[in-house]
Amino acid sequence: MTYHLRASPLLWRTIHDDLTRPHPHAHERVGFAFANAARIADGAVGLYLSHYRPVADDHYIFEPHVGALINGDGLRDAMQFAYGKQLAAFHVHRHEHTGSPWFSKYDLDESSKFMPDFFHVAPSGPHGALLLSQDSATAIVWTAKGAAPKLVQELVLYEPTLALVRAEA
Amino acid sequence: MSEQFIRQSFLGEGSEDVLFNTRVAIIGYGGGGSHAGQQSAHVGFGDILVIDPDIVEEKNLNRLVGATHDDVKNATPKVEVAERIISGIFPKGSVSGIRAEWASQIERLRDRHIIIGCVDSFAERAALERFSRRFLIPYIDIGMDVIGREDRFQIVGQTVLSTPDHACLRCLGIIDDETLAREERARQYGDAGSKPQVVWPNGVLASTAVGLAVQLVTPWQGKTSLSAHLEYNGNRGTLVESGRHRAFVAKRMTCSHYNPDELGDPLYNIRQQ
Repeated sequence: MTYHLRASPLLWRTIHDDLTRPHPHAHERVGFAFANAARIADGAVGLYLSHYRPVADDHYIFEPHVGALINGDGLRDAMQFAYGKQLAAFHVHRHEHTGSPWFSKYDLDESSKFMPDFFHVAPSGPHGALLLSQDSATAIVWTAKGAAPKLVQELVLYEPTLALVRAEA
Repeated sequence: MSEQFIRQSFLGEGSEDVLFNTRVAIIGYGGGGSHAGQQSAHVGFGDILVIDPDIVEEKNLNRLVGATHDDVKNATPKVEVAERIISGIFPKGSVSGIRAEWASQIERLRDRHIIIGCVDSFAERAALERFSRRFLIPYIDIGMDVIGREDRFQIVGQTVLSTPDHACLRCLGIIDDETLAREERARQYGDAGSKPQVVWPNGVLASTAVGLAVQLVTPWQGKTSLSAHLEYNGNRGTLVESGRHRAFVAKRMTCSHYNPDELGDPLYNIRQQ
């Protein structure tokens, strides 16, 4: 099964604007985006980001050795939102460069710890992680708790311009 | 860059690949759709889906580009004309013609990057735009009409680019509840009639639609325009931005007719896939 991800121009702008705000002590910001899904042609699944929730400043843990680390309240807020609307959830952050970004080992390890837990509150899933660069993006999804993440094959971006990003296999 | 696209190299170094990877749907293959299909092949859109339920009739030959008297004689489905023309111009690309109402093909349409709507009724245009918004697909709408009576007629029309968050057909005053109700009353009383259609305004509006589609993915002017409402005056031969669109953009408004909670399929469950 393949996955495609889209968001509206305004939502992409909102996410970029939030993630580029400086934080009092964290090196970078993170947030959570939420999506509805639908089956599309050839058995693929479309993921349509509809909402974004920034992580509140005081939900970041002071940890100078990593880009950003959030506490349980930050995670609970996202889980509550996913539960209330029964949406797919994506952990989102941004790397400050142009071109295709890729998750660091730390990114993957951390996301793998908590994103599959969203299946407890929104079992229809999938849930994932979305990584932006200044002009591109990459995403992965978990289709079940305990399953290995899968690469999202195609993203439609609107920032800084409309772009179709296809994942390299 | 391939020899076929040498003259459009100003679209950018990677434009041939970008256009080839762009999935376009053309809904309605009549006067507008046939121009849009032909030109989409010329510019090199690599995956074109055409949906239309009808066959070619003699009354279509005043405007359906590529259709012939043989198609009338053979009752050729319009989508077969589309496949013939598009694959003849750009055989490397993929073209699929589906003879059906578009609403029966929604899974096929959900993966499109751009939908060009060339349908007749306001109700269909409203439904197509709603579908496009639900699946975050830029929708380009064309429409023309001839108004007036006796010996004084006015050809009018418009091309609209409707991208999520930006001005929709309702924001622009093209569709409202009153228009839809009037159209429905006319349909119920069998008074819908057939709207006048001629080839040259169809060509102007469809060419503009294809230009808007191309600039969405290969913006030669520097930055993509995500929204447009161009009004055609066929008597004066002008195509200008509508005042309503200008005001919408100037006030930095966003569309309030579509709710983000209405995206995707509310019944989707990965456990049932």
